[in-house]
Amino acid sequence: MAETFHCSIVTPTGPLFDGDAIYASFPAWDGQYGMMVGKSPLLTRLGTGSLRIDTPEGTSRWFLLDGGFAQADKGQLVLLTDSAMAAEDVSYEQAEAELADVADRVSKPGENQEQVCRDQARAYAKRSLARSSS
Amino acid sequence: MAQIREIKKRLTAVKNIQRITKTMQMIATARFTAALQSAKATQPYTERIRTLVNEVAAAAGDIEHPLINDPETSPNRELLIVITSDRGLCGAYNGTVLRTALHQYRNATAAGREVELHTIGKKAAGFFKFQRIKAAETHLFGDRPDYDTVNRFASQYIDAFTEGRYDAVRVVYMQFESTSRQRPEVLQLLPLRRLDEESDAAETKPTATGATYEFSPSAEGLLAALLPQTVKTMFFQAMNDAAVSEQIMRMVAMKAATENAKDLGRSLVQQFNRARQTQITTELMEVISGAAALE
Repeated sequence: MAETFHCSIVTPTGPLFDGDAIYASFPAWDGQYGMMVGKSPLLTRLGTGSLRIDTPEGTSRWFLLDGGFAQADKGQLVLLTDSAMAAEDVSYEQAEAELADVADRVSKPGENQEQVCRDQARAYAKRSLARSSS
Repeated sequence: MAQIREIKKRLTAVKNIQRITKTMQMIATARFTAALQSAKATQPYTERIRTLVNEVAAAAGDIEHPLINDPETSPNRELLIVITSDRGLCGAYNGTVLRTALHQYRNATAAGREVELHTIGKKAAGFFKFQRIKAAETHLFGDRPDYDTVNRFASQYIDAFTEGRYDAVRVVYMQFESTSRQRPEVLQLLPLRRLDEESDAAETKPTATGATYEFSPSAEGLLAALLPQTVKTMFFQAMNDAAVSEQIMRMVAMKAATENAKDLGRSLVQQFNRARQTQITTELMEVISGAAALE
């Protein structure tokens, strides 16, 4: 049996996931990172995208992460994020609606473009997660 | 007869009040459980963020950041945020917080500092209006502070501080220590206390695990992202503490009120029985005297 490590997703409103994993792939600020047992200690900023956790039972769980921090150390991975959502709660239609809304805001004068870019990245990640989990 | 009717009327009123306070106590208990759960759910996040800041700060060495350092040109102006409840009947909760806030306000103004006041909750707004102290902003958050809203407000305070509008941001709220202990606290939100001072004051063991981390981006870059997050988490924790304290103090106040109503009811029943007995005795005496007079 593959070796496991402890993985948890901690949000300000409570933990979203807390369990063992054999592999985790999470979105960092500069690209997708993977973690297995034996990974050297790492502290990184999270980006927006999907997180995949492979459990020892042979299933995979998917989540949407939107910013935060990841700490990998002593055989555990802690993902601290302001906003996380399980793939089951992500709806394709809602993601499409968010994307349409953001597309309207891109050309609007006076909009905070930095915020628009963040919202756009989030809506894209949501849609792609909804598509892959459906 | 008039006295008996009067006592009966009071007895009914006391019983009604007892019923109301008992219901309020039960509602406060339910709300307290929910508020405590949400405050406890926040704790792991707050602790983790603090651990991360310490880990990164230990690696970054001497830190210079606008949220830690005092502004270069001091505007001699501070922002005071006062958190109270929207409703009363919660014992000494609002009174204690407001007294602490007023003390803080008067001390700062006496020292020649300008204080901008922001109130959260109807009670604080009403109190400062009565004191003829103008609150620049008044907000209502309800019973359960929502993270997104708190986050937005904290971001505004961070922006105002970094723009140099204030040289300090303080929050006056009721800190929840345990179910039997809550105390008013003046929390300095900004500038953040230097991390070495904080660990000395708290007398905590160093949290650095000794592991050599790979930082991505650099430790300074990570810290720049972590510090605003620390401020937001501190503010959210303060809001949660205030919500839990309010419910627990209301619960205790309503329990005491129910007990008092029960005692008062018991004494009124006694008075009622005594008055009724006196009336019966008087009537009997009158009948006996009347009969004796006829003989």
